[in-house]
Amino acid sequence: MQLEKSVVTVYRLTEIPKDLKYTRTHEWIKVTGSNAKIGITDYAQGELHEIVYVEIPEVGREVSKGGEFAAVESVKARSEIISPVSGKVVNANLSLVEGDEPAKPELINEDPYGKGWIAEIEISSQDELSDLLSAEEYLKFIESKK
Amino acid sequence: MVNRTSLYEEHVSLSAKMFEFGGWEMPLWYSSINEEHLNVRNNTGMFDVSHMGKMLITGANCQKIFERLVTRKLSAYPPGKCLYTLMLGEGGRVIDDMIVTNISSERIFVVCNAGTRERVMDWISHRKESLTLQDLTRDLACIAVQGPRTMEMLRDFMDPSIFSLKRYQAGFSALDIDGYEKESSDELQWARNLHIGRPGEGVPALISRTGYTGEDGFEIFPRSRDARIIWRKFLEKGKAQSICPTGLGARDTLRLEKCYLLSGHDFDGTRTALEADAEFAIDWDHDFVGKNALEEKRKVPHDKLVAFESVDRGIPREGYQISDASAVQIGKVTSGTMSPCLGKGIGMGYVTASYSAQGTKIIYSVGSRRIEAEVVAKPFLKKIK
Repeated sequence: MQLEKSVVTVYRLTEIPKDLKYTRTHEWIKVTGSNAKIGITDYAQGELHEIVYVEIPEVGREVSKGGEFAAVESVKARSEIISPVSGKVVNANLSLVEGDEPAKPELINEDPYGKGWIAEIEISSQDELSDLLSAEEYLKFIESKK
Repeated sequence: MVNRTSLYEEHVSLSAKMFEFGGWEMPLWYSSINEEHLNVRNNTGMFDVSHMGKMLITGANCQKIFERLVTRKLSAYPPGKCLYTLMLGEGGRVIDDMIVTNISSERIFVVCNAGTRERVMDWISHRKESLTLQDLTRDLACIAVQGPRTMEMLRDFMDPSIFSLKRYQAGFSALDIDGYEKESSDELQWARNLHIGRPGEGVPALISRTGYTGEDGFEIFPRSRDARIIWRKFLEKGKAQSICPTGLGARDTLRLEKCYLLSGHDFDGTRTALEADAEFAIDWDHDFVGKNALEEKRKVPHDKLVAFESVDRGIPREGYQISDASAVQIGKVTSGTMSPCLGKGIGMGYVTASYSAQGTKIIYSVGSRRIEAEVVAKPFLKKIK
């Protein structure tokens, strides 16, 4: 996603989970076998602030690396979420949207790496994982933006 | 170069998220736009809106001369009256909206938008050379206190007579602020004829019962150097009324629920007062720049700024295209948000005349998604509680 320039928050490496990979557009991805869970980083949710609406992808949809496949909206603005890998959506986080229960978009603010996950994708090519950032590299990246 | 108000340090010490607005570094939010919004609707909120353009205009027959440049007939209203008015170009297009306060027949006080201040000042000084225009933007601060518990909160600070000011009425008074040391010089001398209440030793300020939230409240104009002590004391004593510092983020969502226009967004110099649906701010019984153009344009159908609510789930945003059911483009969104009070996506936008009636179904596009919405009566939020 695109974030407007402005950073005051100081990030420590310990706050960025080491077992995840990251993008320069502030998504995280957790690979388990051939599947990967995707969400947005703590830094991104902090910059967006209160998330009031989430658009999750339909299960079965094909997504391509670098393509927009979901969106989050804060009070102020909409941000597209960009897929870190190509593949097929096999699961999406229904608790973020209205269904039998009221929507809980705030889960992304409260627990961006956990209950605030957005979708799970069956990865079509493991090769695409190689250019994703490690926690250290992502930290350097966000620090370079200050 | 970005400007800062005299309350900048206060915002920083309250850990506000700062952003640039109209050339000023201003607080966007302190804790949360939603919480601040709801607190203004339920209790009371305090805003630093010192970035607003503030001018004193003086000269013989000031009101009579100046009213040619705005849509309200200033000379028909008494001293102390605050008038929401528009400044139009020759084509009847809205240059800016502003509150003009009648001080006396030789003096008026104008509050315009930050982003259009220079344009407005140029416009005035090129047309009305007999008037003297003094830019008080930096000399005066503006602290807005808004919400149903505002009057209760201010009781300790103000002479009781201040509360008898009606909506859109202003007076000059002194605020009782502990620890304030009176200074002799007085940039507010020009407002003293609007004096109400006891002649206090307190902090001098022009106080008007106006605002941009749809709630009851005051906009208080003290000297810039006195703003901090007022701000701090209000925050301290207002705890009993759950006062919260409130950023411009909530100010935007509050005004949108009430369908108040936002300069540079809902009008930007290209839309007429008729298109902006702002005839309520026009006194037709006087001559003003743009009047002839409006009278001509009134005779033919024109675009109109409408309010609409999302029927499908979605949030309209400025710049989104509006179309009809058969995907023909009929307009554009100028303001949009998720309404904190209504819990749905609301917006305003210009549409062609035939789609402006209440109940008309329109579609706005978010990327590839088409979201159905319905034109509704203004404002979204009907009553002051």
